[in-house]
This record gives sequence, structure tokens and C-alpha cells, in this order.
Amino acid sequence: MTHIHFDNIDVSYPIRVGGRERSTMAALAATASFGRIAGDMKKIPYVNAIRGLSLDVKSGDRLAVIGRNGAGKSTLLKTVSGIIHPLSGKADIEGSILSLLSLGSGVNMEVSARTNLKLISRLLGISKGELEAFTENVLEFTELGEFFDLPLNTYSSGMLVRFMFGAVTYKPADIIVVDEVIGAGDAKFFKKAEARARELFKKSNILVLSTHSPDITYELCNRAILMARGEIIMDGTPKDVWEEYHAILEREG
Amino acid sequence: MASSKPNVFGRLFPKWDLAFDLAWQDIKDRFSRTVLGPFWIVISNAMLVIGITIVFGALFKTPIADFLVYVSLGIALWTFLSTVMTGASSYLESGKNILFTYNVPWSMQITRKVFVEGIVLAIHLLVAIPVILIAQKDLGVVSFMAIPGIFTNLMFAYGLALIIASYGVRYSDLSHALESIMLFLFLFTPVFWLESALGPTRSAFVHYNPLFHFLEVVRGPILDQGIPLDSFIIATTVSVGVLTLGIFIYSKRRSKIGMWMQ
Repeated sequence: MTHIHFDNIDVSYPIRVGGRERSTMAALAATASFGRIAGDMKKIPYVNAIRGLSLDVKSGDRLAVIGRNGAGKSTLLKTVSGIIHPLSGKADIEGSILSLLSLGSGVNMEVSARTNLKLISRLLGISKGELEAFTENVLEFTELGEFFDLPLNTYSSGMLVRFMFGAVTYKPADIIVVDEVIGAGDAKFFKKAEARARELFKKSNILVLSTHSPDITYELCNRAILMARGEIIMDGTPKDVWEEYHAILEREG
Repeated sequence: MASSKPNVFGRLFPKWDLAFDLAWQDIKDRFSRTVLGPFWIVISNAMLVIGITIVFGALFKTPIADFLVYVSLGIALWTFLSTVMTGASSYLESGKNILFTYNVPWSMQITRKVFVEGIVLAIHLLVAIPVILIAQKDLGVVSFMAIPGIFTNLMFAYGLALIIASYGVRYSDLSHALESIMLFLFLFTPVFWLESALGPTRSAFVHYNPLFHFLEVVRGPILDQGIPLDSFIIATTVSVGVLTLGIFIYSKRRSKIGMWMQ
């Protein structure tokens, strides 16, 4: 059964200050001298992006993650995606994951969209038998026409976004993690991209979406969490959570 | 990455076919704007081998044909081992785009990069075959023992790559340290000089150097038409040990790798 279960997790990022704390030489010196030389290198400063967070997401949940910049939304999304792991606490995630956090990864600019799709299909776990359907689908969706068989470095940036968006939004997964800021080209295409994304989301068991838009939340989500300083300060219906968030924003200015 | 404590042992070797396709793509990309393509690998290697053979063959007063085989095998294996060792610390970082976007096991990226160097090694060895056929008059079945010899090199390199890649994201000067060490070892290991030239008192240095045995398990069966048993035992033991250690270290450090790549 698809689920996300976080129990009291802490997620931190090491701060890259000088070179010392990332030096092999300093580490060797510190170990060999029992910490008398360069002993401070083991004390790396960390930013606690998520602190003591517990969260249960069940199959059927459409979860909106709301909060100001720096509240820990992106870190939470990365943790669900498995890009970063908690330093402490228990994390248990069941189900295949598709994360749409940024576009433009793993493409080869020197070859065509068609050729790129062969490799992308492998990365997405699309079978050889399905490759043709996948290619047709992306071709039809992106409306790239003859550009579809030209190298990606001949594309405009908008075309590139269309291609990459089209490629990664073909195959659904049990859990879909989305960062709303993922852009999708011009206004006409944006509508089309939205429709495609909605279709995709419907096929997943769990949706985790970080957003700044109440409308999107009301439309796509049935549950929302409000984050601040790496903690969940409210968990409830999209309407209640947005009202609370607005109240906080007004109070804090 | 379905769970945040991945079953690394179960996921260490999956997707090797994907890793191989990506590696093949890497090789093609490297030479995509050249007319000669992967022949550049052969050319640069041939220059080095021929240069060393002419100079050192004369110094050691060995038959030039034998020495050519000795050096070409030595350089091919050394290039493989040392590029993996010096490059492995950036293996994961260089695959960041793919690892952060697609739901693939992260060890796949390490496998991919070792495959790239493995393909280069294969090209070098394929070029060495005609040289061997011409130079070695009395080639016997025993020469095929070089194949398990090559296999120990692959296991050894993969184990090292897992260890170095696991620490490389955390320690940014690891590659520099390894580069200096490998340069030192290049001179210290009989890659292009003959062990016998060292004299009996100093040859112990060679025998305590495991890298020598990794060369010997491939060169011995071809050049001496015999099985260097000591070298096979040492190379097998070391490669199995390093691979096991690599799997252990990678699985221990796996959950911290992402944090250092942000």
C-alpha cells in the first residue's frame, strides 16, 4: 500500500564554509592526533531545514505544502523524493516515485528529441515495447514538428521546456512530488501543460505539491500542511490551512 | 529511491544495462565532434606505448617485441585503474542531474562511470591483440587465463570506485590526494620497467605492492605462458576484499551522500 510515513525526522544541510572541514588531510590529522590537531573539522556547521517533523500520508491523499520561503517546503519535497535523507528519525516510504522538482535533466543537447527519448524512457522505466507510444505521445503533446528530429541545441528555450516537460510527465507513479515553480513555456502551452499534469496526477495514489496558489490547492488537493521554520504548524483541509496562512501573513506583514 | 533507508545490497547491481547504455553514450559524446572518434583513445595510447618501448626497451636491453606487449598491457591496465581512482570522487556529483530527477539507484551512476573506463580498457586490449599475435610466437591455451585476470581488475576498480565515490562527495580534496598517490605508484609499480632490473634486494617492494599483482595476472599468462599463482591469489583476495568493503562503505554512507550534493 502506497504511503509516506515520517516519524520525528531531522533534515540538515552542511554549510560549506572554508575548505578545512571538507579536507581529507585535516580529517587524517584530526584522526591521527585524536582530535588535538584540526579537531574542529569534525564539527561541521549545519542548517536544520526540517526539525522533528512527523507526517503520515495515505493513499488517496492530495497534499498541498504551504509556507513562506525558507519554511522547509523544498527540503520536505526532496526528502520524499529520496534526494536527501533525514539525519535522524524514521522515514518509511512505499511506492514508486516521480518527482517533478526541476526540468532539464539528463538530456543530451547534441542529439534530437527523438534520440533523447530513447534514453529518457530507460531512466523513467518505460519498456522497449512502449517506446513508440511514448515517442508519439511526446511528439503530439510538444507540437515540435520537424524540430523533433533536430538536435536540442537548435531549440528555443521555450521549446526545450516543452520537450522536457512532455517527456517527464508521461508515465505516472504511485507518488508524485511536484514543485509548483516548475515553469512550462508560453501562455497557450501553459494551459496544455496544466491539463496534462492534471491527468497525470489523477493516476497517482499520492500527490505532494508545494504551492503558493490557493486556487491550485483548492482544485488539486484534499489536504494541506502549513510549514514554518522546518516544522508543520498546521495540518487540515485546504480551506482552513489557507485561512490560517493568510491570517499569519497579515499579522506578520 | 522508494525508501529513505534503501536496501543497498539489493540495489547495488540493478540497472547495469541502463548504466552500460549511458556509458556508451558518454563514450560517443566524448568524441562526437571528431572525425577519428574513439580512435583518439587508440592513438594517444599508442604514442605513449611506442615512446616508452623505444626508450626503455633500449635501456633494459630486452627484445623489442616482448617489451611492446609488456608495456601495452601494463599501460592499458594502469590507465584503467588510475582513471577510476582519480575520477571516482566526482562520479556521483557528475550524475547529479539524473540522480535528482529520475528514480534510479544512485550506485547506477558509479557503475556507469566504471563502465566508461571499462570500455576504454576494452579498446586498448583489442588493439593489443594483434600486437600479441605478432610478437608472441608460442601462444598457448594458458593465455586465456588473462581473462579472469582482467576480471579481478574490474572487481577491484569497482570496489575502489564505491569507496572513493562515497567519500568524494564529502571530502573535496580527495581526488587531489589520490592523483599524487597514483603518480607516485606509477613510478613505483613495474608498469613500464622490468621487475628483474631492480635486483634481488629491492624486488620485495614490488611483491608487497598489490597493484603489481593486478598487472601480473594479465601479463603473466600471455608473456610467460604460465599462471602466476601468487599473483592470482593476491589479486583475487584483494579484489574480493575491496569490493566487499566498497559495498559495505557505500551502504553505510549512502544516506548521507545526498546531503553533501545539495
